Amino acid sequence: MKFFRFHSILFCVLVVLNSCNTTRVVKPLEKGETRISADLGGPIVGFPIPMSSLSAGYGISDKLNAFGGFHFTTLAYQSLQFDFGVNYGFLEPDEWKPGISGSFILNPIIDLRTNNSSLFPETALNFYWQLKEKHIPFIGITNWYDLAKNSTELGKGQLMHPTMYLGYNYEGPKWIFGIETKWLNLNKELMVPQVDHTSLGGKGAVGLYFKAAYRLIRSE
Amino acid sequence: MKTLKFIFIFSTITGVFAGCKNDVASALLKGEPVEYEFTNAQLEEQFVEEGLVQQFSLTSNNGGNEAKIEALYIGSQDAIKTDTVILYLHGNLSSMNPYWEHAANLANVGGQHRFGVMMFDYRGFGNSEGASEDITDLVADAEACIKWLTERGLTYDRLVVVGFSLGAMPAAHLANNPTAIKCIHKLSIEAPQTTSTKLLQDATGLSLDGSTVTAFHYDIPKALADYKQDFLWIHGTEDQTASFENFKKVYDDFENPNKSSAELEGLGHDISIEMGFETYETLMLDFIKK
Repeated sequence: MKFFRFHSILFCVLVVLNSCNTTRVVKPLEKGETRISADLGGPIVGFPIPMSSLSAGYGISDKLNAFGGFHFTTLAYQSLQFDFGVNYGFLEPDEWKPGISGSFILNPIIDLRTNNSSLFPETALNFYWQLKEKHIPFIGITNWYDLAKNSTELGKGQLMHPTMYLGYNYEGPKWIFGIETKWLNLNKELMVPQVDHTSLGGKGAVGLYFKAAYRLIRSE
Repeated sequence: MKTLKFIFIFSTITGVFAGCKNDVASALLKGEPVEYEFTNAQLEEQFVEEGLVQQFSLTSNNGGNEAKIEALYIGSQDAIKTDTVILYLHGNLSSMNPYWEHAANLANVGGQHRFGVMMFDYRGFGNSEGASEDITDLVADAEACIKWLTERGLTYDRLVVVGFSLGAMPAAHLANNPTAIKCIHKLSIEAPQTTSTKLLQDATGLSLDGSTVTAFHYDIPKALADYKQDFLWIHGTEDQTASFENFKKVYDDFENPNKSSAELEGLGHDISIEMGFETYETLMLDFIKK
Protein backbone atom coordinates (compact mmCIF):
# COMPACT_ATOMS: atom_id res chain seq x y z
CA MET A 1 0.00 0.00 0.00
CA LYS A 2 2.87 2.35 0.75
CA PHE A 3 4.21 1.89 -2.76
CA PHE A 4 0.81 2.52 -4.25
CA ARG A 5 0.32 5.62 -2.14
CA PHE A 6 3.74 6.94 -3.06
CA HIS A 7 3.02 6.68 -6.73
CA SER A 8 -0.43 8.16 -6.30
CA ILE A 9 1.29 11.17 -4.81
CA LEU A 10 3.68 11.37 -7.70
CA PHE A 11 0.69 11.21 -9.96
CA CYS A 12 -0.73 14.22 -8.18
CA VAL A 13 2.59 15.97 -8.53
CA LEU A 14 2.32 15.79 -12.23
CA VAL A 15 -1.24 16.75 -12.66
CA VAL A 16 -0.85 20.16 -11.09
CA LEU A 17 1.83 21.32 -13.47
CA ASN A 18 0.99 24.97 -13.46
CA SER A 19 2.46 27.37 -10.90
CA CYS A 20 4.53 24.59 -9.42
CA ASN A 21 7.29 26.72 -7.89
CA THR A 22 7.65 29.81 -5.75
CA THR A 23 7.26 33.15 -7.50
CA ARG A 24 10.52 33.53 -9.42
CA VAL A 25 10.91 37.28 -8.89
CA VAL A 26 8.90 39.37 -6.43
CA LYS A 27 11.21 42.29 -5.67
CA PRO A 28 13.26 43.05 -8.80
CA LEU A 29 16.94 42.15 -8.77
CA GLU A 30 19.46 44.96 -8.90
CA LYS A 31 21.13 45.77 -12.19
CA GLY A 32 23.83 43.20 -12.94
CA GLU A 33 22.77 40.84 -10.17
CA THR A 34 22.71 37.13 -11.04
CA ARG A 35 20.86 34.73 -8.81
CA ILE A 36 20.27 30.98 -8.87
CA SER A 37 17.42 29.40 -7.01
CA ALA A 38 16.21 25.95 -6.04
CA ASP A 39 12.51 25.35 -5.38
CA LEU A 40 10.78 22.54 -3.60
CA GLY A 41 7.11 22.05 -2.90
CA GLY A 42 3.73 21.46 -4.42
CA PRO A 43 0.07 20.75 -3.75
CA ILE A 44 -0.75 19.48 -0.28
CA VAL A 45 -1.91 15.87 -0.06
CA GLY A 46 -1.44 15.58 3.69
CA PHE A 47 1.97 17.20 3.15
CA PRO A 48 3.40 19.36 0.36
CA ILE A 49 4.52 17.29 -2.60
CA PRO A 50 8.25 17.76 -3.23
CA MET A 51 8.25 19.08 -6.78
CA SER A 52 11.59 20.52 -7.67
CA SER A 53 12.94 23.12 -10.08
CA LEU A 54 16.06 25.18 -10.59
CA SER A 55 16.03 28.71 -11.92
CA ALA A 56 18.28 31.65 -12.59
CA GLY A 57 17.54 35.36 -12.71
CA TYR A 58 19.45 38.39 -14.01
CA GLY A 59 18.97 42.08 -13.40
CA ILE A 60 19.02 43.80 -16.80
CA SER A 61 18.34 47.07 -15.03
CA ASP A 62 17.14 47.99 -11.56
CA LYS A 63 13.58 47.56 -12.80
CA LEU A 64 13.77 44.96 -15.55
CA ASN A 65 14.79 41.35 -14.85
CA ALA A 66 14.96 38.21 -16.93
CA PHE A 67 14.66 34.72 -15.50
CA GLY A 68 14.28 31.11 -16.50
CA GLY A 69 13.61 27.82 -14.78
CA PHE A 70 13.72 24.10 -15.38
CA HIS A 71 11.45 21.51 -13.73
CA PHE A 72 13.11 18.25 -12.69
CA THR A 73 10.13 16.31 -11.43
CA THR A 74 8.35 16.67 -14.75
CA LEU A 75 11.47 15.43 -16.52
CA ALA A 76 11.42 12.31 -14.39
CA TYR A 77 8.07 11.56 -16.01
CA GLN A 78 9.46 12.14 -19.50
CA SER A 79 8.28 15.64 -20.18
CA LEU A 80 10.40 18.77 -20.39
CA GLN A 81 9.00 21.80 -18.63
CA PHE A 82 10.62 25.23 -18.62
CA ASP A 83 9.64 28.74 -17.74
CA PHE A 84 11.15 31.87 -19.24
CA GLY A 85 10.07 35.32 -18.24
CA VAL A 86 10.70 38.98 -17.56
CA ASN A 87 9.76 40.95 -14.48
CA TYR A 88 9.31 44.70 -14.31
CA GLY A 89 9.18 46.81 -11.18
CA PHE A 90 6.35 49.32 -11.52
CA LEU A 91 6.55 50.82 -8.07
CA GLU A 92 9.02 50.59 -5.22
CA PRO A 93 7.73 50.02 -1.69
CA ASP A 94 7.48 53.04 0.56
CA GLU A 95 6.94 52.20 4.22
CA TRP A 96 3.51 50.56 4.27
CA LYS A 97 2.77 51.24 0.62
CA PRO A 98 3.56 48.08 -1.28
CA GLY A 99 5.94 47.78 -4.14
CA ILE A 100 4.36 46.47 -7.30
CA SER A 101 6.02 44.27 -9.90
CA GLY A 102 4.64 42.30 -12.81
CA SER A 103 5.89 39.37 -14.85
CA PHE A 104 5.25 37.95 -18.27
CA ILE A 105 6.27 34.31 -18.54
CA LEU A 106 6.20 31.59 -21.18
CA ASN A 107 5.79 27.99 -19.99
CA PRO A 108 6.66 25.41 -22.63
CA ILE A 109 5.96 21.75 -21.91
CA ILE A 110 7.41 19.18 -24.31
CA ASP A 111 6.12 15.63 -24.20
CA LEU A 112 9.19 13.45 -24.83
CA ARG A 113 7.05 10.41 -25.63
CA THR A 114 5.40 11.95 -28.66
CA ASN A 115 7.38 15.20 -29.08
CA ASN A 116 4.13 17.13 -28.81
CA SER A 117 4.61 20.53 -27.25
CA SER A 118 2.39 23.03 -25.50
CA LEU A 119 3.05 26.66 -24.64
CA PHE A 120 1.21 28.47 -21.87
CA PRO A 121 1.74 32.23 -21.51
CA GLU A 122 1.45 33.54 -17.97
CA THR A 123 1.11 36.96 -16.36
CA ALA A 124 1.67 37.76 -12.69
CA LEU A 125 1.23 40.79 -10.47
CA ASN A 126 3.06 41.03 -7.15
CA PHE A 127 2.51 43.35 -4.19
CA TYR A 128 5.38 43.33 -1.71
CA TRP A 129 6.66 45.18 1.30
CA GLN A 130 10.26 45.63 2.43
CA LEU A 131 10.65 45.54 6.21
CA LYS A 132 14.04 46.32 7.76
CA GLU A 133 15.75 45.69 4.41
CA LYS A 134 15.74 41.90 4.62
CA HIS A 135 12.12 40.92 5.11
CA ILE A 136 9.88 40.77 2.05
CA PRO A 137 6.30 39.65 2.65
CA PHE A 138 4.19 39.56 -0.50
CA ILE A 139 0.91 38.64 -2.09
CA GLY A 140 0.04 38.23 -5.73
CA ILE A 141 -1.98 36.67 -8.46
CA THR A 142 -0.81 34.84 -11.54
CA ASN A 143 -2.68 33.40 -14.47
CA TRP A 144 -1.86 30.75 -17.05
CA TYR A 145 -3.59 31.24 -20.41
CA ASP A 146 -4.62 28.11 -22.29
CA LEU A 147 -4.79 29.37 -25.85
CA ALA A 148 -5.59 25.86 -27.08
CA LYS A 149 -8.58 25.50 -24.78
CA ASN A 150 -10.81 24.47 -27.68
CA SER A 151 -8.75 21.32 -28.15
CA THR A 152 -9.70 20.10 -24.69
CA GLU A 153 -11.70 16.88 -24.91
CA LEU A 154 -15.45 17.01 -24.34
CA GLY A 155 -15.39 20.77 -24.72
CA LYS A 156 -14.57 21.81 -21.17
CA GLY A 157 -11.44 23.88 -21.74
CA GLN A 158 -10.90 27.23 -20.07
CA LEU A 159 -8.71 30.16 -21.06
CA MET A 160 -7.96 31.38 -17.55
CA HIS A 161 -6.14 29.37 -14.88
CA PRO A 162 -5.56 31.78 -12.00
CA THR A 163 -3.53 31.20 -8.86
CA MET A 164 -3.29 33.44 -5.79
CA TYR A 165 -0.33 33.37 -3.45
CA LEU A 166 0.97 34.67 -0.17
CA GLY A 167 4.61 34.42 0.82
CA TYR A 168 7.63 35.67 2.66
CA ASN A 169 11.24 36.02 1.49
CA TYR A 170 14.25 36.59 3.72
CA GLU A 171 16.87 38.39 1.63
CA GLY A 172 20.33 38.14 3.15
CA PRO A 173 23.50 39.50 1.53
CA LYS A 174 24.16 36.22 -0.28
CA TRP A 175 21.35 33.84 0.52
CA ILE A 176 17.63 34.27 0.06
CA PHE A 177 15.10 31.94 1.63
CA GLY A 178 11.41 31.91 0.93
CA ILE A 179 8.17 30.21 1.88
CA GLU A 180 4.99 30.59 -0.07
CA THR A 181 1.49 29.19 -0.11
CA LYS A 182 -0.59 29.12 -3.26
CA TRP A 183 -4.18 28.55 -4.16
CA LEU A 184 -3.80 26.87 -7.53
CA ASN A 185 -6.47 26.81 -10.21
CA LEU A 186 -8.82 28.60 -7.85
CA ASN A 187 -11.65 28.90 -10.38
CA LYS A 188 -12.27 25.23 -10.95
CA GLU A 189 -12.80 21.88 -9.26
CA LEU A 190 -9.85 19.59 -9.92
CA MET A 191 -10.67 15.91 -10.16
CA VAL A 192 -7.67 13.77 -9.26
CA PRO A 193 -8.67 10.12 -8.85
CA GLN A 194 -7.61 8.43 -5.61
CA VAL A 195 -5.77 11.46 -4.24
CA ASP A 196 -7.29 13.77 -1.63
CA HIS A 197 -5.76 17.17 -2.16
CA THR A 198 -6.34 20.25 -0.02
CA SER A 199 -8.62 22.81 -1.63
CA LEU A 200 -10.58 25.89 -0.56
CA GLY A 201 -14.34 25.63 -0.84
CA GLY A 202 -13.87 22.61 -3.09
CA LYS A 203 -12.05 24.72 -5.67
CA GLY A 204 -8.47 24.34 -6.87
CA ALA A 205 -5.58 22.99 -4.82
CA VAL A 206 -3.56 24.53 -2.01
CA GLY A 207 0.19 24.20 -2.27
CA LEU A 208 3.18 24.98 -0.07
CA TYR A 209 6.56 25.88 -1.54
CA PHE A 210 10.07 26.63 -0.33
CA LYS A 211 12.91 28.46 -1.99
CA ALA A 212 16.64 28.78 -1.41
CA ALA A 213 18.43 31.24 -3.68
CA TYR A 214 22.04 32.39 -3.90
CA ARG A 215 23.37 35.60 -5.39
CA LEU A 216 26.21 34.55 -7.70
CA ILE A 217 27.03 38.10 -8.70
CA ARG A 218 25.78 41.15 -6.89
CA SER A 219 26.25 44.70 -8.05
CA GLU A 220 27.90 47.00 -5.52
CA MET B 1 34.07 29.26 -11.27
CA LYS B 2 30.77 29.41 -9.40
CA THR B 3 28.92 29.46 -12.71
CA LEU B 4 30.83 26.37 -13.86
CA LYS B 5 29.97 24.61 -10.62
CA PHE B 6 26.35 25.51 -11.11
CA ILE B 7 26.35 24.19 -14.67
CA PHE B 8 28.01 20.96 -13.52
CA ILE B 9 25.51 20.41 -10.71
CA PHE B 10 22.59 21.31 -12.97
CA SER B 11 23.77 18.91 -15.66
CA THR B 12 24.27 16.10 -13.17
CA ILE B 13 20.83 16.51 -11.61
CA THR B 14 19.23 16.78 -15.04
CA GLY B 15 20.94 13.59 -16.12
CA VAL B 16 19.69 11.72 -13.07
CA PHE B 17 16.09 12.84 -13.60
CA ALA B 18 16.26 12.23 -17.34
CA GLY B 19 17.34 8.68 -16.56
CA CYS B 20 14.10 8.08 -14.69
CA LYS B 21 11.46 6.48 -16.84
CA ASN B 22 8.54 7.04 -14.54
CA ASP B 23 5.02 6.83 -15.79
CA VAL B 24 1.81 7.63 -13.97
CA ALA B 25 0.55 4.26 -15.21
CA SER B 26 2.54 2.92 -12.28
CA ALA B 27 0.16 4.89 -10.07
CA LEU B 28 -2.95 3.92 -11.95
CA LEU B 29 -2.15 0.27 -12.47
CA LYS B 30 -0.44 -1.02 -9.38
CA GLY B 31 -1.80 -3.41 -6.80
CA GLU B 32 -0.06 -5.40 -4.09
CA PRO B 33 0.21 -9.03 -2.97
CA VAL B 34 -2.50 -10.06 -0.53
CA GLU B 35 -3.93 -13.03 1.28
CA TYR B 36 -7.18 -13.62 -0.55
CA GLU B 37 -10.28 -13.69 1.63
CA PHE B 38 -13.44 -14.86 -0.10
CA THR B 39 -15.74 -16.08 2.65
CA ASN B 40 -19.08 -14.97 4.06
CA ALA B 41 -17.22 -13.39 6.97
CA GLN B 42 -16.27 -10.49 4.69
CA LEU B 43 -19.84 -10.02 3.43
CA GLU B 44 -22.57 -7.95 5.04
CA GLU B 45 -25.83 -8.51 3.18
CA GLN B 46 -25.68 -11.02 0.35
CA PHE B 47 -23.98 -14.32 1.04
CA VAL B 48 -22.69 -17.21 -1.00
CA GLU B 49 -22.32 -20.95 -0.63
CA GLU B 50 -18.65 -21.06 0.20
CA GLY B 51 -18.32 -24.45 -1.46
CA LEU B 52 -19.15 -22.78 -4.76
CA VAL B 53 -16.28 -20.30 -4.55
CA GLN B 54 -13.15 -21.43 -6.34
CA GLN B 55 -9.94 -19.44 -6.55
CA PHE B 56 -7.33 -20.50 -9.10
CA SER B 57 -4.59 -19.35 -11.47
CA LEU B 58 -4.61 -19.14 -15.22
CA THR B 59 -2.19 -17.92 -17.86
CA SER B 60 -2.72 -14.69 -19.74
CA ASN B 61 -0.82 -13.99 -22.93
CA ASN B 62 -0.44 -10.49 -24.35
CA GLY B 63 1.38 -10.95 -27.63
CA GLY B 64 3.86 -13.40 -26.12
CA ASN B 65 4.14 -11.59 -22.79
CA GLU B 66 2.75 -14.28 -20.51
CA ALA B 67 1.69 -13.81 -16.89
CA LYS B 68 0.07 -16.09 -14.36
CA ILE B 69 -3.01 -14.28 -13.08
CA GLU B 70 -5.29 -15.10 -10.17
CA ALA B 71 -9.00 -15.60 -10.76
CA LEU B 72 -12.16 -16.43 -8.88
CA TYR B 73 -15.28 -18.27 -9.98
CA ILE B 74 -18.47 -18.10 -7.93
CA GLY B 75 -21.09 -20.69 -8.77
CA SER B 76 -21.31 -24.15 -10.24
CA GLN B 77 -18.80 -24.58 -13.05
CA ASP B 78 -21.08 -27.23 -14.51
CA ALA B 79 -23.57 -24.47 -15.36
CA ILE B 80 -21.05 -22.60 -17.52
CA LYS B 81 -22.01 -24.71 -20.51
CA THR B 82 -25.70 -23.91 -20.18
CA ASP B 83 -26.30 -20.64 -18.34
CA THR B 84 -25.37 -16.98 -18.43
CA VAL B 85 -22.03 -16.03 -16.91
CA ILE B 86 -20.97 -12.59 -15.68
CA LEU B 87 -17.33 -11.56 -16.08
CA TYR B 88 -16.59 -8.80 -13.56
CA LEU B 89 -13.63 -6.48 -14.22
CA HIS B 90 -12.80 -4.76 -10.96
CA GLY B 91 -11.61 -1.24 -10.22
CA ASN B 92 -8.25 0.19 -9.27
CA LEU B 93 -7.94 -0.98 -5.67
CA SER B 94 -5.05 -3.29 -4.99
CA SER B 95 -6.65 -6.70 -5.48
CA MET B 96 -9.90 -8.66 -5.79
CA ASN B 97 -10.40 -8.53 -2.02
CA PRO B 98 -12.09 -5.09 -1.87
CA TYR B 99 -14.41 -6.21 -4.69
CA TRP B 100 -15.53 -9.45 -3.09
CA GLU B 101 -18.80 -7.86 -2.01
CA HIS B 102 -19.42 -6.53 -5.54
CA ALA B 103 -18.86 -9.99 -7.01
CA ALA B 104 -20.98 -11.66 -4.32
CA ASN B 105 -23.81 -9.25 -5.06
CA LEU B 106 -23.66 -10.20 -8.74
CA ALA B 107 -23.75 -13.86 -7.69
CA ASN B 108 -27.04 -13.09 -5.92
CA VAL B 109 -28.73 -11.23 -8.76
CA GLY B 110 -31.95 -13.16 -9.53
CA GLY B 111 -31.40 -15.42 -6.52
CA GLN B 112 -28.40 -16.99 -4.85
CA HIS B 113 -26.01 -18.30 -7.50
CA ARG B 114 -28.53 -17.64 -10.26
CA PHE B 115 -25.63 -16.65 -12.51
CA GLY B 116 -22.01 -17.69 -12.40
CA VAL B 117 -19.57 -14.83 -11.74
CA MET B 118 -15.91 -14.70 -12.68
CA MET B 119 -13.49 -12.08 -11.33
CA PHE B 120 -9.72 -11.81 -11.69
CA ASP B 121 -6.74 -9.73 -10.69
CA TYR B 122 -5.02 -7.88 -13.53
CA ARG B 123 -1.27 -8.40 -13.85
CA GLY B 124 0.47 -6.72 -10.93
CA PHE B 125 -2.71 -6.61 -8.86
CA GLY B 126 -3.17 -8.93 -5.90
CA ASN B 127 -1.14 -12.08 -6.41
CA SER B 128 -1.20 -11.93 -10.19
CA GLU B 129 2.28 -11.94 -11.66
CA GLY B 130 3.77 -9.34 -13.98
CA ALA B 131 2.81 -5.72 -14.37
CA SER B 132 0.02 -3.88 -16.10
CA GLU B 133 1.65 -1.22 -18.23
CA ASP B 134 -0.75 -0.85 -21.09
CA ILE B 135 -4.45 -1.23 -21.84
CA THR B 136 -3.57 -4.31 -23.90
CA ASP B 137 -2.33 -6.02 -20.72
CA LEU B 138 -5.70 -5.52 -19.05
CA VAL B 139 -7.57 -6.65 -22.15
CA ALA B 140 -5.37 -9.73 -22.53
CA ASP B 141 -6.11 -10.75 -18.93
CA ALA B 142 -9.86 -10.41 -19.54
CA GLU B 143 -9.52 -12.43 -22.74
CA ALA B 144 -7.72 -15.16 -20.83
CA CYS B 145 -10.74 -15.40 -18.56
CA ILE B 146 -13.12 -15.57 -21.52
CA LYS B 147 -10.96 -18.32 -22.99
CA TRP B 148 -11.12 -20.20 -19.69
CA LEU B 149 -14.92 -19.88 -19.75
CA THR B 150 -15.31 -20.92 -23.39
CA GLU B 151 -13.14 -23.97 -22.76
CA ARG B 152 -15.78 -24.96 -20.21
CA GLY B 153 -18.65 -24.58 -22.61
CA LEU B 154 -19.62 -20.90 -22.49
CA THR B 155 -21.09 -19.66 -25.74
CA TYR B 156 -20.79 -16.05 -26.76
CA ASP B 157 -24.46 -15.22 -26.41
CA ARG B 158 -24.39 -16.06 -22.68
CA LEU B 159 -21.52 -13.79 -21.65
CA VAL B 160 -22.18 -10.55 -19.75
CA VAL B 161 -19.19 -8.27 -19.14
CA VAL B 162 -19.39 -5.82 -16.24
CA GLY B 163 -16.55 -3.31 -15.85
CA PHE B 164 -16.32 -1.03 -12.84
CA SER B 165 -14.21 2.14 -12.89
CA LEU B 166 -10.75 0.98 -14.07
CA GLY B 167 -12.44 -2.21 -15.27
CA ALA B 168 -14.57 -0.19 -17.68
CA MET B 169 -11.44 0.58 -19.70
CA PRO B 170 -10.55 -3.01 -20.66
CA ALA B 171 -14.25 -3.86 -20.88
CA ALA B 172 -14.78 -1.19 -23.54
CA HIS B 173 -11.55 -2.02 -25.36
CA LEU B 174 -12.53 -5.69 -25.25
CA ALA B 175 -15.74 -4.76 -27.02
CA ASN B 176 -13.66 -3.07 -29.71
CA ASN B 177 -11.64 -6.23 -30.37
CA PRO B 178 -12.80 -7.65 -33.71
CA THR B 179 -12.47 -11.20 -32.44
CA ALA B 180 -13.97 -10.55 -29.06
CA ILE B 181 -16.82 -8.41 -30.32
CA LYS B 182 -18.66 -11.62 -31.16
CA CYS B 183 -18.29 -12.67 -27.51
CA ILE B 184 -19.71 -9.66 -25.81
CA HIS B 185 -23.42 -9.52 -26.32
CA LYS B 186 -23.95 -7.56 -23.14
CA LEU B 187 -21.62 -4.92 -21.77
CA SER B 188 -22.24 -2.92 -18.63
CA ILE B 189 -19.84 -0.27 -17.42
CA GLU B 190 -20.10 1.30 -13.99
CA ALA B 191 -18.56 4.69 -13.06
CA PRO B 192 -16.20 4.80 -16.05
CA GLN B 193 -13.55 7.34 -16.94
CA THR B 194 -13.51 8.50 -20.58
CA THR B 195 -9.96 8.87 -21.93
CA SER B 196 -6.45 9.08 -20.53
CA THR B 197 -6.16 12.59 -21.96
CA LYS B 198 -9.38 13.71 -20.32
CA LEU B 199 -8.14 12.36 -16.98
CA LEU B 200 -5.09 14.64 -17.18
CA GLN B 201 -7.12 17.57 -18.44
CA ASP B 202 -9.57 17.29 -15.54
CA ALA B 203 -6.67 17.24 -13.10
CA THR B 204 -4.78 20.18 -14.60
CA GLY B 205 -7.54 22.11 -16.29
CA LEU B 206 -5.10 22.48 -19.20
CA SER B 207 -5.33 21.22 -22.78
CA LEU B 208 -2.50 18.72 -22.33
CA ASP B 209 -2.42 15.30 -23.97
CA GLY B 210 -2.39 12.29 -21.66
CA SER B 211 0.96 11.27 -23.11
CA THR B 212 2.54 14.20 -21.24
CA VAL B 213 2.65 12.04 -18.14
CA THR B 214 1.87 8.49 -19.25
CA ALA B 215 2.23 6.01 -22.07
CA PHE B 216 -0.94 4.31 -20.81
CA HIS B 217 -3.50 5.26 -23.41
CA TYR B 218 -7.17 4.41 -23.28
CA ASP B 219 -10.10 5.89 -25.13
CA ILE B 220 -13.47 4.46 -24.14
CA PRO B 221 -15.59 6.55 -26.56
CA LYS B 222 -13.44 5.43 -29.49
CA ALA B 223 -13.41 1.83 -28.31
CA LEU B 224 -17.20 1.78 -28.06
CA ALA B 225 -17.84 3.50 -31.39
CA ASP B 226 -18.63 0.28 -33.30
CA TYR B 227 -20.27 -1.61 -30.47
CA LYS B 228 -23.95 -2.16 -31.25
CA GLN B 229 -24.86 -4.90 -28.79
CA ASP B 230 -26.69 -4.40 -25.49
CA PHE B 231 -25.01 -1.70 -23.45
CA LEU B 232 -25.72 -0.38 -19.96
CA TRP B 233 -24.02 2.64 -18.39
CA ILE B 234 -24.38 3.11 -14.61
CA HIS B 235 -23.04 6.29 -12.98
CA GLY B 236 -23.71 8.41 -9.89
CA THR B 237 -24.13 12.13 -10.46
CA GLU B 238 -21.90 12.94 -7.49
CA ASP B 239 -19.00 10.70 -8.50
CA GLN B 240 -15.80 12.49 -7.43
CA THR B 241 -13.45 9.96 -9.02
CA ALA B 242 -14.87 9.53 -12.52
CA SER B 243 -16.78 12.54 -13.79
CA PHE B 244 -20.48 11.92 -14.43
CA GLU B 245 -20.68 14.90 -16.79
CA ASN B 246 -17.83 13.60 -18.92
CA PHE B 247 -19.39 10.21 -19.54
CA LYS B 248 -22.87 11.68 -19.91
CA LYS B 249 -21.59 13.48 -23.00
CA VAL B 250 -19.99 10.27 -24.28
CA TYR B 251 -23.23 8.37 -23.68
CA ASP B 252 -25.38 10.99 -25.39
CA ASP B 253 -23.11 10.92 -28.46
CA PHE B 254 -22.90 7.11 -28.50
CA GLU B 255 -24.89 5.80 -31.45
CA ASN B 256 -26.17 2.43 -30.31
CA PRO B 257 -29.86 1.51 -30.53
CA ASN B 258 -29.37 -0.97 -27.70
CA LYS B 259 -27.92 1.43 -25.16
CA SER B 260 -29.48 2.18 -21.81
CA SER B 261 -28.37 4.02 -18.72
CA ALA B 262 -28.94 4.37 -15.00
CA GLU B 263 -28.00 7.91 -13.99
CA LEU B 264 -28.37 7.91 -10.24
CA GLU B 265 -28.88 11.24 -8.53
CA GLY B 266 -26.73 11.97 -5.51
CA LEU B 267 -24.66 8.78 -5.60
CA GLY B 268 -20.86 8.57 -5.74
CA HIS B 269 -18.21 6.32 -7.22
CA ASP B 270 -18.91 2.97 -5.53
CA ILE B 271 -22.18 2.98 -7.36
CA SER B 272 -23.34 -0.64 -7.18
CA ILE B 273 -22.92 -0.69 -3.39
CA GLU B 274 -24.27 2.81 -2.79
CA MET B 275 -27.53 2.19 -4.68
CA GLY B 276 -28.32 -0.82 -2.49
CA PHE B 277 -28.64 -4.44 -3.52
CA GLU B 278 -32.33 -4.38 -4.42
CA THR B 279 -31.93 -1.53 -6.90
CA TYR B 280 -28.78 -3.08 -8.34
CA GLU B 281 -30.40 -6.48 -8.67
CA THR B 282 -33.39 -5.03 -10.53
CA LEU B 283 -31.12 -3.08 -12.84
CA MET B 284 -28.85 -5.99 -13.67
CA LEU B 285 -31.63 -8.52 -13.97
CA ASP B 286 -33.50 -6.31 -16.44
CA PHE B 287 -30.30 -5.87 -18.44
CA ILE B 288 -29.37 -9.56 -18.47
CA LYS B 289 -32.87 -10.65 -19.44
CA LYS B 290 -33.27 -7.92 -22.06
